Amino acid sequence: MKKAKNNVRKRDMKAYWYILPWLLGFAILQLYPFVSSFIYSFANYSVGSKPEFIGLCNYEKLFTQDKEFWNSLKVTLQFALYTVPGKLILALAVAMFLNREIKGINFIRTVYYIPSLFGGSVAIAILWRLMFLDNGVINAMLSRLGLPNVQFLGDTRYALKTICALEIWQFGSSMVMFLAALKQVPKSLYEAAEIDGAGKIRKFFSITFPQISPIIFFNLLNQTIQALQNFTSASVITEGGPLKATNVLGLKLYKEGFAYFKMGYASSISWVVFTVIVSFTLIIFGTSKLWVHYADE
Amino acid sequence: MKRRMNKKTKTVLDYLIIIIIGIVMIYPIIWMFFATFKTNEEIFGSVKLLPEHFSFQYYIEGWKGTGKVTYTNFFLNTFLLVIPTTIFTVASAALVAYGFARFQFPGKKILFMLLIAMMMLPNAVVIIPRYTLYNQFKWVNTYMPFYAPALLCCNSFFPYMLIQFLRGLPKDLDESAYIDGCGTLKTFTHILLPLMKPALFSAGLFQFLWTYNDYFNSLIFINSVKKYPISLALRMSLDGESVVQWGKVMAMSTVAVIPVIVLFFACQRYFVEGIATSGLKG
Amino acid sequence: MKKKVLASLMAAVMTASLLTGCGAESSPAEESKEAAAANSDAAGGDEEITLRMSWWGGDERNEATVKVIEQFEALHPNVTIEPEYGGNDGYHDKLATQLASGTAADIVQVDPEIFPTYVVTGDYFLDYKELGIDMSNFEEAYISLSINGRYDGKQLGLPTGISGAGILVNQDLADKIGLDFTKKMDWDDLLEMGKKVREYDDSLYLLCANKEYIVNLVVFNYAKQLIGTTLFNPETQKINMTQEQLQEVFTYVQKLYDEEVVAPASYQAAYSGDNLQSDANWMNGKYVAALTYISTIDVMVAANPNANYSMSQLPILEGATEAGWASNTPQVFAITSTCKYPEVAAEFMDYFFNNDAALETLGATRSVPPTEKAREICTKTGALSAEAMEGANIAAAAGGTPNDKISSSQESKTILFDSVETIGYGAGTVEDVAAEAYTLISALGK
Repeated sequence: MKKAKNNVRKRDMKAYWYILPWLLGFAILQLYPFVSSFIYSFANYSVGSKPEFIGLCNYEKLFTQDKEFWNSLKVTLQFALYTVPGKLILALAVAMFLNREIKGINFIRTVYYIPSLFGGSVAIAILWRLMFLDNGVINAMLSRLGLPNVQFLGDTRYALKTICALEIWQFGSSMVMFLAALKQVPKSLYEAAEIDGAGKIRKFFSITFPQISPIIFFNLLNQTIQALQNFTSASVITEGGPLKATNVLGLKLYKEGFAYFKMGYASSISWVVFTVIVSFTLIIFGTSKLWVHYADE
Repeated sequence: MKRRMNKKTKTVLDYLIIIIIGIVMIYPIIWMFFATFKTNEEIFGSVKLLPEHFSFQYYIEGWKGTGKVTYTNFFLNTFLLVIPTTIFTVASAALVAYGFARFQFPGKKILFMLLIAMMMLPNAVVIIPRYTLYNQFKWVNTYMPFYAPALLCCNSFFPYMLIQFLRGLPKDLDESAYIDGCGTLKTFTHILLPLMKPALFSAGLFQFLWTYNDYFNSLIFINSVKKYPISLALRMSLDGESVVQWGKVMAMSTVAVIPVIVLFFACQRYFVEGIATSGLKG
Repeated sequence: MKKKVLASLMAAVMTASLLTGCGAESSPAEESKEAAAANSDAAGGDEEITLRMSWWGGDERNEATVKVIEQFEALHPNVTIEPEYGGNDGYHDKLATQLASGTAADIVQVDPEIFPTYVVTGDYFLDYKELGIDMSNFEEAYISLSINGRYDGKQLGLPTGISGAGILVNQDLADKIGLDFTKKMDWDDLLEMGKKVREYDDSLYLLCANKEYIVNLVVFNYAKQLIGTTLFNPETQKINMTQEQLQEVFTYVQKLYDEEVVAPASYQAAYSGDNLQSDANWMNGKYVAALTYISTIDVMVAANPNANYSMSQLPILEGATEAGWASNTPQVFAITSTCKYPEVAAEFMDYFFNNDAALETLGATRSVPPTEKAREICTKTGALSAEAMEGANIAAAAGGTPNDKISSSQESKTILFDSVETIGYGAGTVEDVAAEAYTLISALGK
């Protein structure tokens, strides 16, 4: 008995070899930039000059004087609130819908994935702007349907939603992960359930959902992190406007750092974003015990 | 009998829904394709889908690039950059994921937290210290800033994603392999890796795609035009003080996306059909 | 185990910080001076020399510049100049990173409005005067402006061309409505004209503009004319303007929107920044004129080639002693202090700015050329458009003072962009907007 335990322990110690690449990467490549940015967040540091330490001044300015910050925080949270569920639900629905063996399914899946292949490329930025212009395609269609036109990019009420639409449109990566996860669900489970006379909805909640819950969890976490850091969608299409309606924190900190050269201040914003992300992560991890089922437990 | 009829109409209905949603999804891309034949006036001045003339002039002109470096170079550079990065990423992430997912070792919790934490700091502020560091290693203007982090598993997304997939595989698999006398490495390569195929292929696909589209890191780390990947080439002539022929930009963007479409189409069977055919029982 | 891991992590952090510490210690400027002495005749010698040159631009500029490099290389077989060009997006983000790490190219193109920020933060650029480049083709009055590269008596940059602000007029449309842009205008004339345009046809507007253009061309110039000098005193770095004056300028901006001289702010939002050229209404000839820079005239003309154009000057406030708008360069070229062969780099710049063949190849790819000699060559080859030349002359004649470096910083501009946007959207009263902007802007000075 003891020997078996020893064996297990010996085996477990081998894990260090497996994670060695990351340990090295962490120590050599990641730690220094990570720690530097933390230190800069307490400094008055413009790119190219020596950092001058000013204690908590950056954070104080951020929380008490910078009116833009609170707006940006709100916009960022809204952005995450729209895009994360939007993307996940759409990706899961489409993945389940496309998880079947019909003729031409490979082609159809590819078609659904194409929008995601472009990322934040210039062509997409131009395209999206053209689609949603005052005299663009979408408004032309609305007119034809007898609906009133909307200023998607110019109206503060719609600009953020337009950006979110772009983000959700590119749901392909989550879809691919869901497709892969769905394939891991043993077919025997469904067959057994069918014998029990389970309907579609029950099959989803009693088999599909628990079986792929680790991947749903991962996507939820990852999309939340991405959404809270996002700046490409806003920067390529609206540059934060109109009236800061799409000025997400990611964009704000980028501008502070690279347009105004205030790296210290940008670092402090980053660390606030970091803290927000950590809190969300903790919440998501906290709830995970209730709904995520691992096969290895 | 009635049921069977229903099934048939249902299939037709399914196709119909799939196609309609598909068209809505891809309409902007179709529009983009037709824009490669349009002049700036047509692109910005009208909402018509079809161009007035079809000519491949923009493709031919665009391919030539500017100043002697053509898209042939850019494509070769891109593959030289992206393929090793992708392979390194998948290999290192699989090992690290295995280490985290299957063993209980001292310090695991804290190391795992650090792994996840590395995903959470916005990229913009670590760029300058990272550049300073890589510059000390003499990596600037080479592809090492892409290879090295891939080899050393620095994008936590990938190990974490694979950890989640691994945790979806029952531990009994490992146990029975151990009983058969397999070591940890053999268990990993012979039992788990084949089952992880869908996840490995999707990880590879993502890394391929993201590196392929990565503008900012390429911009910062690559200097010589001769070494530019596609992502830089596509924005090479964009300048507010110059007349930009958007048809050309669209044409090159269209060409640039083809390899990724092909890759996705070709890899699909691996991640969509991998497990189901390997007959895993839960 | 935990301790060991931690210890090695700490060690890694320390080595990393030591590494970077070393880089900052030795002064690159001094090193390169020594190198310069050792290599004074290098371009003519046999030693293999590689230089790097970076710029941003569109196809034509990239092509022409690469050609000039090749011509120079043919004359100096031992010299290779590695071109590093790209779009303008992110160019200065990269340059800032490179300058900070001492890895910038040997010859760099810089936006003159960002240049001062670099000059202040470090000793990054060499003085052309010490490198023996022939500057006789430049007008002293032009290159001595700090916006064109002269800082504290040192010629750190050389201007690549002549730009400046003006109004590009769609002459056909102006004639049809009966508007005269040739006379000297004051700001209220624009309001009058705007009214006439709307009365003539309410699908037309007088001015194609966005918040960035309104700030750069209207706010700055109106303000400078009003206070008779730049917004900040370049010496004391104190603000020269009162809140009331700023409010007066903003009141004018409000009239531009309220009296429909420009399109509604919510329409303009889709064409912000550089995107004026893609405004569908401009392409379809729905504007009588556009606020423009000389360096973008050709782009605007190309966007709607179906009209005849002429250039007009920006308005001047009655009784103003300071015109505000002036000619200045769209870019400067500088030689970085980390350059190992500054003499060779200078020789190339000499070729770039003075050689007949080079000037002919470059043409007007960096706006109207900065020297009389180059302009003559371009006029002969037809590279210079009549509108651009007209614009350059108008801007040069105005002779106003360029913006000081505080008010032209990105941060100050963003404050003004935001203010104009708020006014345009009617999201705040002019008093409030002016008060807030004034507080923020004056905090940038001392």
